[in-house]
Amino acid sequence: MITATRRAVLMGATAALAAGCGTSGARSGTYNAANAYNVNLAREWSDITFMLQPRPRNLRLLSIDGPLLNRLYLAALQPGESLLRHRDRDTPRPTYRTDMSDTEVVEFIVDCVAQEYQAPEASALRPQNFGAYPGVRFDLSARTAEGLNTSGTALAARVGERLHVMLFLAPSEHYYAALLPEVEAIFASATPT
Amino acid sequence: MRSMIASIGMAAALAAVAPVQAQEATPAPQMELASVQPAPSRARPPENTDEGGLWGASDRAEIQARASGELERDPALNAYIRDVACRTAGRYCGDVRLYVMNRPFFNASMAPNGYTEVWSGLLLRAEDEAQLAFVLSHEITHYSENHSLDMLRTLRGRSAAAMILSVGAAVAGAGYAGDLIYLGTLASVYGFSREKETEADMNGFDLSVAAGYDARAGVTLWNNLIAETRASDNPDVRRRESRASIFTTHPLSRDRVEALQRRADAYTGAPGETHRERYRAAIRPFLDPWLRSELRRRDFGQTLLVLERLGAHGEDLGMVEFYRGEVHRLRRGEGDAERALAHYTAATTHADAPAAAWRELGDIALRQNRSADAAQCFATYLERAPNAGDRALVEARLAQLQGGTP
Repeated sequence: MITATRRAVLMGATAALAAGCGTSGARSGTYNAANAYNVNLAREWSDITFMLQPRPRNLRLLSIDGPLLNRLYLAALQPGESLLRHRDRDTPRPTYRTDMSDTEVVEFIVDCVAQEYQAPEASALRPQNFGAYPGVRFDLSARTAEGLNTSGTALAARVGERLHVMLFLAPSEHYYAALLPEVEAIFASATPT
Repeated sequence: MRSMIASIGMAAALAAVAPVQAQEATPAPQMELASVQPAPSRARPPENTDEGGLWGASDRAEIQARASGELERDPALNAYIRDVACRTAGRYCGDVRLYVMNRPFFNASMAPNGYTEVWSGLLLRAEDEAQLAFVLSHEITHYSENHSLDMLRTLRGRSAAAMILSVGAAVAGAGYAGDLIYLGTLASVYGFSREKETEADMNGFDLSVAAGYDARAGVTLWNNLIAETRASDNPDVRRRESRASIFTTHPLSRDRVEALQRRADAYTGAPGETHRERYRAAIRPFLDPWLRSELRRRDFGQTLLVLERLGAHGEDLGMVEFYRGEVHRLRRGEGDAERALAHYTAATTHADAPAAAWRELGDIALRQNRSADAAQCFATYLERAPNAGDRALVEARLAQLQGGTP
């Protein structure tokens, strides 16, 4: 997920466009995330997963206005996988384990966010179902490298061996609140397949 | 990582050179956090010189640092570190514009324009004020002897270095992945030669000893860093002869450490001070967030060594034992569950234990099917942290344990 820096993301986008492979659309309606669950999109989102280099497994990245203004991560991680990937195998990174408590699941997601954002903090941790499965919901605050305040919210649940994660991040000023009702509806629509 | 730096650098080269040149005339902003300080000893060099170009690039990096969300603004901490820097900087005190950055890696640097960064990973690893003073003296020597300018002239002109530095500034602070890239970028500009490093060690030794600090501070710190490299969980880090993982911009070699050891052994002056207690008092309020950031690196071998040093004098044991427990909880190796339990339990016997120690003990009790113990630990956690961000979650667990509806 969050290995690429902002500049690298922009460069990746430029390179991909130059190569003739721009963003693909995630059309309105049912969207299947990582062959693990469906969500309902009220409108078309851009699938910008290609910007993540190297690309994590079992994760999609969607956006309406571009990665700097809103990001929606939809993941269904297998044990040992992460929301981020390093180019080398040796650099330690947070990985999902099936025996994590809810608090540890939140810690795992926040520590992944810390790869790109500064001083991420979780708040308002609470139980919330992910479809029919018991999960954990929380809010996030962080800052970009330039000091821009960023807000986020996430819903995660263990479904079998996998960890299903939906994570929304956007600048606190305007963009987070503007898209939050739509994101809430997406969270509420999640149905494991 | 190298390929990423290279790709960023190549793309940025086209755009970065011209803006950097335009930036040269802009004076560096003054740091409002610094206390009253003497005037700088150096005048800004002409823009059309290589040194002027280097100042311009440094100005750009400094502007980035001022806006960074990782800038530690605590006035007391900034004043303290500034004071230590000025004790050793002498006539260069007025040149130091200090920025303490919350980044979990050992690093300090002083740019040619006086822009100085000290990272929290360094402050967590220095054992006392004398060790911090030695590092700052070392940096001041690089500054006073114009080592950056010498290195710049080996880079075939200012535009290359300016580009590299500006690109580095662009990614600095972009989470700790960005910090690592920035470290590598700094190293490519400020990665001084072995001779210059030795010179900075020797002169740094003289400056810190003249300021009344412990003569063995430098060699002790360097040996600690080498030991930490060896303790790393990352085989790539352990393989690096240059100890680059610890202090990328200042590669440590064995002969360099031995030279400093000989210098300390030969010193016959008055025994200096470590000022360990007042150093610890200055960093104590930051141990919790800095250790949390340290833990995010997931290099458990290194973190355990850092914790061992932090606990060596029997201080802050509630915090130290809690984070030892955290390391073992996250590592999940053989015997780690038992060790985590032991450390969390030890933490709770000290007044400074974080409330989270009781929550973790509750989780462990839950895994061991000790429901009554788990309930008691969760209740204690909520009592000690009534405004905890995970209160609703813990209350739900408590309700389950007590037979209520989650």
